[in-house]
Amino acid sequence: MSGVARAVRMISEPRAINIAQIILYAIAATAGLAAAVGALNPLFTSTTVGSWIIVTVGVILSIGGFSGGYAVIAGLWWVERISLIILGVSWIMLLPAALFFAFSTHNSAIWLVIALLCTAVLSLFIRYRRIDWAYLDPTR
Amino acid sequence: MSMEAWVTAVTAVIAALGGASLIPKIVDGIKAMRDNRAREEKDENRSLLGRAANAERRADREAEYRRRVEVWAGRLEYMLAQLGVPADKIPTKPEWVRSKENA
Repeated sequence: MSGVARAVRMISEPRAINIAQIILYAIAATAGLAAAVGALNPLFTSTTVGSWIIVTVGVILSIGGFSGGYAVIAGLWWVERISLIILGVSWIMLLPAALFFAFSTHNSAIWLVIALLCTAVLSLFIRYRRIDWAYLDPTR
Repeated sequence: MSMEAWVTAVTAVIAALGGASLIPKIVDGIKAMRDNRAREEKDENRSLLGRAANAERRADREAEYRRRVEVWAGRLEYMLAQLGVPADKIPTKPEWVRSKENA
């Protein structure tokens, strides 16, 4: 058995959902790291509350992303719940700045960012609730 | 207070509330781990999965047995007909009763 196949088998059932969840955490962690080192600096934060917020959100996102990915692989439901809250808080932290930017500049493109933020938060909420259901419990 | 300051304050409040909501979760999680509650829940879920798998295996075995009995009954019916037993004397095969679950 190849290393990749062995790594995939380590992930608890339902495997497809949990792999998608790990990818989600990996994306959040990568985006978080990029934001934390200052590589990502969107206009709606830098022109409103300042670039410190994106660095803070980046740090929080990377913590949530890494801990969430580890929790899914290890099957630690309570750690994953904490990671989901961390990620949710970091996305919600961007909302006030985005809303302020939307109303103060009348830049319609920011509404897409707000919609994406809402989608991200709701998807985290769905995962949080699904951990309660036995068939989606990431325990092994 | 400027609008930017308000936005900063709201963001800080969100961060503080989020951080505060984490504390009981972390404490509960550590407690659950120390009390072995996490392990018990894991074992329970494992046993649920095991029970479901056993039920499926049992249903498969019963279905297999039923098919073999049907073949055997068919052979008996054929033998009775060959021996000259009239068809109306041979008991009719029981019908499958459909329930709401398997309808």
